[in-house]
This record gives sequence, C-alpha cells and structure tokens, in this order.
Amino acid sequence: MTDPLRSALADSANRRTPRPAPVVDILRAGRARRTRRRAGLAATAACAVAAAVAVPLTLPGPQVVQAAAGTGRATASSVPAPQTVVLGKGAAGGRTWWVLAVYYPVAPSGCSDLPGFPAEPALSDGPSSSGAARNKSGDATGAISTSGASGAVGTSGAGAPTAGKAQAKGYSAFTVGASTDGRTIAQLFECEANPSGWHPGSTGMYGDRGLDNAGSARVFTGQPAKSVVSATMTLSDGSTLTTRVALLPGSKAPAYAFVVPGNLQEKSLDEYNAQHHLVSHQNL
Amino acid sequence: MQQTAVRAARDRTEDRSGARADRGEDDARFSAFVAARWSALVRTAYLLTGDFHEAEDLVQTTLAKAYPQWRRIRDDTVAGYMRQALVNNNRSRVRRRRVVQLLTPFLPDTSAPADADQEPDVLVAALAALPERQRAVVVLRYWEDLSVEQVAHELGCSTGTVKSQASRALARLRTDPNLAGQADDLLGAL
Repeated sequence: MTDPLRSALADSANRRTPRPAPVVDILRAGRARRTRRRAGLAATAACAVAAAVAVPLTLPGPQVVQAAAGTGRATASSVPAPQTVVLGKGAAGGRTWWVLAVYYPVAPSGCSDLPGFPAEPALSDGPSSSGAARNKSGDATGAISTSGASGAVGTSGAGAPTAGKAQAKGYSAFTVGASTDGRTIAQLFECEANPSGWHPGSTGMYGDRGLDNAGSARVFTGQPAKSVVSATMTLSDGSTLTTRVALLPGSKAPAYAFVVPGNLQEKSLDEYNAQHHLVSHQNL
Repeated sequence: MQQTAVRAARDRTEDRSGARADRGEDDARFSAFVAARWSALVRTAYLLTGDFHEAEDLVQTTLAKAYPQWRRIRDDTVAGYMRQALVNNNRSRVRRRRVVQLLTPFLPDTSAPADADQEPDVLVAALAALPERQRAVVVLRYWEDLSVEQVAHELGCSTGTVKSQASRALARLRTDPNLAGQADDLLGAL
C-alpha cells in the first residue's frame, strides 16, 4: 500500500545529485569542534575547581569560617581548617537567615565554646518546639541531634582531637548555627562528639527550634535517608518552602533546614529523591 | 634507575605514536563513512528540510558534530546514530530559524532560485508544510523504511506516538493543495 509513497519519495529525493562529499571540510570542522569542546571542558573543570576553592570563603557567614579557621591557636599550622556548609536559608521576621553546619576535623578545646558562635545562654528555646529533639541532658537544644554523644549528625570520627571534652580517641566536633547578615547569632546545638560516625540508622531525625527570643523565626532541621535530595514543607497558611539536601562536611550525611516564620506552623513535610519521586510524607 | 627512565620514555613515545596511529585510523574510517554515506544522508536531509542546499549544510554540520564522538560510535549503530543526529539537528535548525523569523518578521524573501532544477518538488513541498515531528516520522517510516518500533527508538518517543503522528501526517498530505489530484494515487489506502 505504501509503495507509491515510497517510490514518490525516492523520485523526489533522487531528483538532484548531491555534490561530492566535502570530506576535508568536514574533518576540519570536526577537529575544530573537538578542540573547542576540549577547551570548554578544561575551562569548566578549571571553573569547578576555582569555585570549589572559592565557595567556602564566600559563604554567607565568612566571619564564621574565618573566625573559626583563625582560632587554631597553638596548633594552627597543623590543624585542618573547619568546613562550613549551608543547610538551608529563608526569610523570616524581616531578616534572611542561613542555617550553617560547621565541621571541625579536629575538635577545638571546649565543645561548648566553639569559635564563631556565642554562648548558649544568649538564646532561649523558641516559642514553638514541636517535635524538637532532646539530648541526653534533656535540653531542647538538638534540632538534628537526638542523643548527645551518639547524635544523628555524625562526624567522620577520623579527627585527631586535641583538647577539651573531645579528647577521647576518634572524636571530632560538629555544630550547627544560624546566621543573619553574615553574623552568626544562634547556635542550634552544641558541638557533637561522635566516636562512631554517621550510619544509616541515624536518619529520620527532625525537629525545630526558635531562632530568637521574639519568636519571629524558627529553624526546622531534618536528616533524611540518603536517597533524598530535596524536601518541601507545607506551612499552616498553605504556602510551601523547598530546600535542597546538603551533605554534612566530614560525614557526608544528608541534612537540610527550613527557616519557618514564627507566626506559621509546619503542616507537612515531603521528601523527594533525584527523580523527584516522593520518598516520604509526614504530617507534622 | 636510568634504564627505568629510558624504558618509561620509550613507553610514552610508543603510547603517543599508538594514539596517533589510532587517530589516523579513526580519521580514515570516518572519511570512508562520509564518502560512502554522503549522498544517502543528503537525500534524507532533503526530505527533512525541503531544501537541497540546507540539506547539504545540515549533513555537513551533523557529520562535523559526530566527528569528535566517532571513536565511541560502534559500527553496527552508526547508521542509526547518524539518522538520529540528523533529525535532532534538523529540529535545532527549525527552532533557530523560528527565532530568526520572530526577530525579523517583515523582511521579504527576495532570493531567487539559483538554477532551474531548484523548482520545488510537490511532494517535498507538501512534506515541508508538515510539522517537523510528523515530517521526521514520514521520512523515517516511508523513506528510510524503518519499523514503527525503530522510528520510536530513533525519535525517543512511544510507538503509539509514531502511529498517531504518521496518521496525522498522512491525513494532512491527503488534503495538501500541492498534492491535489495525486494524493489518492500516492497514499492509496494508507
């Protein structure tokens, strides 16, 4: 049935004879394209390396990183610099908040006195702490952590501790803080000293905590399963917040944070994998 | 120590000359392919574009783009790869042209046919009036003689989409004024 169409197509296509194949031109163009492509790849790789070097220095809380790095004290030359990652950010109470996790490869002396963060008494618990996790001592300070020394936010355990309460073998330090306008003003939980490191069983830790005394903002942190790459939170007024999962320095454990306006409540939380398939849904 | 260094230098030289030989072999294989398949590719491109000069440009660009990947293309898949690349590059060409037309909507086309045999073929003109995807389905299905499954694979869509696009394309060809009086003969009971 299709033969007439096929033969008509063949007639049309064969009406003209193409010029001889410009093999040399094609080869020349192909080589030029390959050269450009390689140059582009090299430039991209160079940019990626440059960005990887530059990003830790230009994170919203540069003072945190620099201050922390500058407190190496007597062992500054041999102590690896702390690493900072942004777990999430958002606007609440008329300010933009960044939630930062700072990882100390080698625990500084005194976990409760981590450089760059004010002392815990400067803050009080937020007005709402639905689901706030509590550490061993019963303080609602752990937004991610659930139990002091074996907290869910793990660390590599490979650090070489120097002093303070992290002197036990294999311990390293970790802390999460919130920052606005580049200045850290809230410490969400204290340094964790975790000898066992992160393990899959430590996922599923969620909680929130007030960011200031006025109750204008809270931070909700989560430590999801490893397959989760993004999370969306629905608030009581129907609006949604979405954030990407960050890998915690040192442990590669996934974590994220939302900044929730103080006048709204968390309603539900959806977590998605890389294919944007729903991994979990929680009513909060 | 010195012997090791000499051996390493010799190995590097051999590696380099081996790589050069591989590249030369690839170039020879690529040149042979271009020489052998140029005409067929231009004809397919002609049916896709509706213009012989654009067809030659399209094939030349497609081959130049394929050259850097040539080493990774297997012999048994090269025909399909080139067909797919041709269709994709034609799609890009159509998009680019659409942008140009949007940016310069009022410039009349003053170009005259360069020679007599540029007079458009009625079937090619009718094909050119089809949407790009329907045209690709007709060309692959009825000119390249591929099965519905093969067309679906090359266009990256489902077999159902191929069937529906082919059906719509043939329906449009039947009512195309360029094919008035010939459509029934050409398309028969399709």
